[in-house]
Order: sequence, then structure tokens, then C-alpha cells
Amino acid sequence: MTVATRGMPAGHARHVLAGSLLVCPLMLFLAAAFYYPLVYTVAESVTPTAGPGLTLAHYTEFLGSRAGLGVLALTLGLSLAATLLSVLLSLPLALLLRRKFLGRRALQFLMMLPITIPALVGALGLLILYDRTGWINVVLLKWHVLSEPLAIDYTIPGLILFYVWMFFPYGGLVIMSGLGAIDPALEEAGLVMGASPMVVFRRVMLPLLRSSLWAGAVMIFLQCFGAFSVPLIAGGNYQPIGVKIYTIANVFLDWPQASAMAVVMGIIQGGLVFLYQSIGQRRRVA
Amino acid sequence: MRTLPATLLRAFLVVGFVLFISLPLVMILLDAFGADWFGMRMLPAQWTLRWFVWAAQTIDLGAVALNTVEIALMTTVLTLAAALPAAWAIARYRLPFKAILIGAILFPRMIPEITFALGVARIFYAIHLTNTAIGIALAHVMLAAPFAVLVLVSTFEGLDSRLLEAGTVMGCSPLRLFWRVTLPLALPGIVAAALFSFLASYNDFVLTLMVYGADTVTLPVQTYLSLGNGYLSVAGAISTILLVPSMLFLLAMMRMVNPENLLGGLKGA
Amino acid sequence: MTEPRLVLEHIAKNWGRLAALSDINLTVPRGMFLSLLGPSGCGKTTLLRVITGSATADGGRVVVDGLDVTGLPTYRRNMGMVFQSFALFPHLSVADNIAFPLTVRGVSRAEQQRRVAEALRIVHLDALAERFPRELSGGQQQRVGLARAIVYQPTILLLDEPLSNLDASLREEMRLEISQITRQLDITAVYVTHDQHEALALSDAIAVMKLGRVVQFGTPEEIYGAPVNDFIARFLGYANELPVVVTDGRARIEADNTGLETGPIGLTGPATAFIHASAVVLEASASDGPNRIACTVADLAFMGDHVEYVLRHKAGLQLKAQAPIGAPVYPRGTEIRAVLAADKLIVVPRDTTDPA
Repeated sequence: MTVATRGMPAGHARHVLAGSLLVCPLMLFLAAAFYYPLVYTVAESVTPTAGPGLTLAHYTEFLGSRAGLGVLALTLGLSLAATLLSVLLSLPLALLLRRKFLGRRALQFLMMLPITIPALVGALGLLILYDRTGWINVVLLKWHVLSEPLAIDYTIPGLILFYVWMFFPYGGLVIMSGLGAIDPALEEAGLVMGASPMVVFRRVMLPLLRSSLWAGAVMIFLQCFGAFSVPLIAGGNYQPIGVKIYTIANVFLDWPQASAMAVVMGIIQGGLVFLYQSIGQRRRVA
Repeated sequence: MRTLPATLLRAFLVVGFVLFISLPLVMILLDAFGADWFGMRMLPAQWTLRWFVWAAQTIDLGAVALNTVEIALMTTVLTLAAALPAAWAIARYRLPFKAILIGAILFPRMIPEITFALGVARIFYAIHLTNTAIGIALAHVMLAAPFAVLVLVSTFEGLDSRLLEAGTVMGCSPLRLFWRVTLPLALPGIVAAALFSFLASYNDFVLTLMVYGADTVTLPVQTYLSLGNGYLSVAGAISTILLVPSMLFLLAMMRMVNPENLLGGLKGA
Repeated sequence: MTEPRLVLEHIAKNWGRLAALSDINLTVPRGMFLSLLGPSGCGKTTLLRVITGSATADGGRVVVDGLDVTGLPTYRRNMGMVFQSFALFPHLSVADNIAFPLTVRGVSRAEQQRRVAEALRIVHLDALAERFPRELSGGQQQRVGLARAIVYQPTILLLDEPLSNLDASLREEMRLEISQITRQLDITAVYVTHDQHEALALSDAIAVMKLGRVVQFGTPEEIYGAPVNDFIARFLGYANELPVVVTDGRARIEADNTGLETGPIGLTGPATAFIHASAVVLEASASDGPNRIACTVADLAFMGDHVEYVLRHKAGLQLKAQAPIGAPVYPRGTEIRAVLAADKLIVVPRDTTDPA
């Protein structure tokens, strides 16, 4: 489906040149507005706070200090917990949404909601809902389920809950697509051969879903790791890495330190994307 | 699973899920349109538009909304201007460095927004591009371009060469061919790319937060500011306006696409 | 007297307002190979799935060996099924695929190995036990499917168009294998197909279905020799059909009232006469005798082992005839006479149900 080239080397060269020209505007944009800032950030991360030269002090400061490792631990811990819960939520949901039934479309719509709306809005809604004087607590107190309001906002469990709300659809979509790829005849065959639905799920579907589950988990983890709006608004004193970087840059004005953290964050997140794509490759080959 | 307890369990789970997902958004609506409500009762005592009015008067909500739309439109135009030729080249030219090219274009979406927002903020500050609509739009192009390119490459790859060939055989000059044949065929994809770009810019928070100024406050930023100042209901009101494009987009997508085929983020962080 | 293996009583199933199955009644004795034959959409696969339990009937009963299994879930019916798409578990080896139903039943390891080896032997795939489905050809996969379906000695074996996904050359070979194996193991089988050759070759009995009903039930010879209406005759591949009117046991071509000599006819009024192309002979000279129809050669084609003629009758009717290699060849436009063999000409009622 490519434009035909006329003749040999000369035509081909012109072809490549023409193509390259078309790509130029975008690449110039990217170079100026993305890659240059990125390089700038990396450069800033190795700039000493005072004086000339290069230094890795900011990195060691971050990765070597209790505070720095604490931030990473917090971020990874939140992400891991939220990922686990999200997968546990997505799997039965994906199974439920397999067959057509009244309201299926509506449920699919709902499932897409958290990832389509701006994170900020979702975070605000969660904040309002689960506040100490928020709707959930008002209702639970009114119905005498609780005698004291539950603290959810600004707590770790609360943050995990919010992460799950915001990010589980990423995994849900991956798992749903994986489920859809399984030949329905396989399930039928299992049942006819005498395996109960539970056994069919355990021995036929789960093995076939393995790579989807992993891909979905990595995708969710990726999003949790990079979360910003949710912890910014509802994290209280807990600052995972995204928020921490923002605070250090804008509040403490320690740009080199923030840059170093941003680079570390970028490397980790980039690594996760790479992981996700390599799982995807394996899926397509199998 | 046709037994009664199984069906009840299922129904219970479905209801639970529906509530889980929708309640936060319902809260936004109640917050935005209700008075005498938060912290006190399940439903507002009164329904009102006063928060919107207050916002319009005090923090100039109208101007903020206008800013957001203006920047989003600029982003869309700039993104399409750059992405259309690039996607055309990728889809229909044999370029030796194609894989690297695509990787370089998609890279902005693979690393956290804050990481390059830092650099963008510093550079913009140095060249006085902060607090300008065009500056913010330029930054947003980085977020919108990967999606736009993906959609457009797929669109252009899907164009049937035979139709284009038929056009040429029937006498169309390259320009005419593009205008009368290529463009109409690619229109759905171009519209989709435009919508993605608009949405990416409209919804963006992190990047904008780092490069905005007093004259270029956008809706997401204003939401955050109002929240920071303690005006919860105003934040809610602004959020409802923020929600509109995303919801419309989602509804439109639901009508056309199967959710299983959608992967990758659609919103701003 | 032993119970029939399978009895279907008044089976009905609806998709919304559409009746996928209406009042199906069938009795299958032990060891019978029954085919459900019909065009797409006639309900044959739906009926198969009602038997296995994958689809729930809206009315009627499924009785196996005297026991009403209608309410029993699929996984408790102990039936075997061979799928059109093979449905082999991609994550298990051939041996593990075949052993799957045995593991579900708690059969001991040693016994599993013995039975899997036996099943592989029966389908001639001994050497492929450790391969995976994606490494096998279509024919091999289907054999594994068959082995997997019989290894646990199900009460009934169900086959859903098992040959449709195979190359034409393989089909014949697999058909023979299925025939041999089911006979050898004395299996009661229900076979779904739209291919009349398969049904005629494999079955002890055929149920021809159309629009959710069984329109004829009988042995292959009965169905083929005496189809009850023109829909079935057409489906069985009778190439020539002539609308006729029957009065007093004699048929006349409706278009021009020419009389036809046939075997005994048991009906009156409008009907259709059918005859195979191979039973229509071409005659250049005018001879006397019944069933001679004046035609013109409209087209002819060399088919390898015979020549196929398309003849046009003056009243607009079309006839197909076959001539062996070596017989005189009549070019297009030749005026010729078509002789319809009287004993091969069948007259059947017109199908009065809605068109398929």
C-alpha cells in the first residue's frame, strides 16, 4: 500500500526525501517541545545545586535517603495493592459482561467512565463521596451501620480504593479483549466432557487468560505509578512520587532534585511500558 | 447459573458495581447543583445554580472556559497540521527508519507527564512562553500527537489504493485527488484524531498546572485552585463543565466501537 | 426390550418470536448413526445443543436410556461432542487434551495413560501424543477431537459438521474413519450436516430438517428414493425439476401438457417431477416412446469423466443431461431429444411450508 517509486536508486531516494519532509513538522514540534525539555530535565538532574560541573548527588540523595526510598516504597506499595484489587475486580466483571443481556451496554459505559473523564474530576468526586462528612458516611451513620464516621480520604486504604476506582478499567479492557479471543467452543467442549463451570474456568479459561491478566496488571500498575491528580487532591500527607516531584519543584523550588526524581520515575515507568509491550508480543505469537 | 441464589448474588454484585462507579460522579452533580447539602443530608435541600453564578462573577468562569476551549482548538489545529502529513508519510511511504520514528512519536505517552512537564516549565519560563495560550497549546500538542498519529496512520493505511488509483485513471490531479477522494475517505479518521486532540488538551491538568498563568487559567486548573481555596461546591460546578466533552465523547464511542477494542488512555492525567 | 438410547419428545425452542425448533420427536435406538440433514438455519445445530444441554429447550423432554435429562446441566450428561472448529485446548498437548475428560472423572493416572494410548491408536495418531494443537493439520486436529470425545465412552456421540473445516480431499478420508470407528465401537451417534453425500454415506437413518421441523425421517434409501416433497428432492441434488399436474395417476408437464410415464404416483393435483441428470439421455433421431422431450442444446461443458448438457425446452423449461465420454457430442443449437428414464422419474408433492 505504498506510493510506487519510479525507477531505481534515484527514485527511491526522492521517495524517502519526500516522506521525510512530510514528517518534519511533527518531528520539529516533538524535538522542540518534548525532547528538548526532556534533555533539559536530565541535564538539570545532574547539575549541582551550587557551582559548576556534573554530579549524581541528587540521585544518591533520592535513592540513598530514607525519605527518598520512602517515597518509592509508598508509590510502589500503593500501586501493587491497587493493582491486585483491580485485577480481582476486573476478572469477574469481564466474565459478567461476556454475554448479551439487558443493560450490558450501560455497564460497559460505566466501566469506561473512570478512564474517560479527567482524573481531576474523578478525584474530586471520590473526595466528596468518601469524606468524613461525605455522602457515604452520612448514609452509614444515618442507618446506624457506624457509630463514628469512617476516615477514608487522606488515608492509605482510601488512596488504594481511589486508585482502584480510577484505574481498574485499564485492566478490565485488556482482560475483556483476552476473554473475547477465547473460542466459545472451548468452554462448550469442556462442559460436554463433564467439567463443571468452575473446573472449566480454572483449567481452560484461566490458563488461556494468563497473558491478558499479566498485561492488564502491568497496565494498571503503570497508571497507578504515574498517578498525580488523585494523590494530589486526596492523598493528604501521603505524597507518592508524582506529587512529590511537583511539591519539590513548585514549593521548595529545588528543580535539580525534582528533575532527578522525575528521571527515575520516567525510567521506571518506561520500563513498565516496555514490559507491557513485550507481554503483548508474546500474546500475539502464542 | 440459573439458580435463585446465584441470580441474586449476581444482581447484588451488579448493583454494587453500578453504585461504586457512578456515585463519585453523582456527587459532583449534587455538589454543583445543590445547596444545604454537603455533610448534612443525602440529597440537597435545594437545587440551585448559584455556584455557577458565583463562579462566573467572582473567578470569571466564562473566561476560564473560553481559555480552555481556545487552547484546545489551537492544540487540535496544530496537532492535525503536524500529524496529518506525518501519518500520511508513515502509512504510505517506505521509510527506512519507520520503527524508530513511530517510537519517537509515541514516546511522550510512555513516560509520566510530570517528567517532561518540569523541563517544559523551565524552558517556557526562560523564553517567556508561560501564560500564553499558544505556549500551552504547543505543550499540549505533545500529548495529543501520539494519539492523532496512531489514528491517522491506521486510517491512511486502511485507504484502498485501488480507489485512489481509479481516481487518477479518471483524470484527477494530485491535489484534486486529495480533495475529492482521499479526504472524504479519511474523514472519519481525521474527525476522530481531531476529537482526541481536543479532548487531550481540554482535560489536561499536570502539564497545564506547570505552565499556566493568570491569563491562561483552564478549567482543570481552576477546579484545583477553587478546591485549594476551600470552595468545594464551586469546584464541583466547574467539574460539571469539565465533564461535558468527555461524556459526549464516550457516548459517541459507545455507539460506534466495541469497548474491547479500545486500549490505551484517552484522557489527560 | 432395551430402552432406546435417545428419545426427543416435543422439543421446542424459540429465539424471541422465531421458532428455532418446533415439536421435534425422534427416537434413536442403541448403536444407530442418525444424521440431521438440512440447510443453514434449519435448526439442526440447535437441536444438537439441546441434546447436550448447551441450549435449553423451551418445551419438551430429552430422555437418555429411559432417564429424563432435560433439567440436567451439560456437564452431567456424559455425552461426547466433536466440533466443527475442533475446539482443542491450545494450552494442552494432544495427550492432555484427550486425557482431560478422564481427569475430570478422577480416573487414575495409569488408567488414563492406557485409555489415551488406546484412543490415539483408534484414530491412528499414536506418534503425536506430545504435540500441541497448533502444530497439527486440520485433519489431525479433528482426529484428536474425535479421540477426546470417545475416550470416556459417552452414551451418545454428537458430531457438529465435523468435516466442514477440512479440505475436500481430507473429507472423504475422515468420513470413512468416522464410519469405521463408530461402527467398530458400536457408538450411538447424532451427526449434523448440510451435505447430503455425507448423510447418505454415513447414516443408518436420516432426519431431514427445515425451519425447525423434521420434514422426513427414514433410511438413506428411503429418503433418496422417495423424498416426500420437492424441497427435499432439490436438497438431495436432483438436478432436473419439472412442474407437473397429476390426474388419475398420470403426470403431465404443466407448461405444455405433455404426458410423462413414471412409476406409480400416490397423489393428485400440482406436483413436481424430479430426475437426475445422469438419467436423462440424448437422442438425435426421433424414436417412439414415452418421456421424449424436444429440446435445443443451450450449453455443454466437459466435466472430465462426462459431458454435461444444458437443454432448453420450447416451453422455457431447462433440463440437464449427462453423456459419457465417447458418445456423440452435440454442439450448441442442435435440436435434440431428451429421454427421461421412466423408472428414475419421481413425482413428489410441492412443499407448502414457507420458503427457507
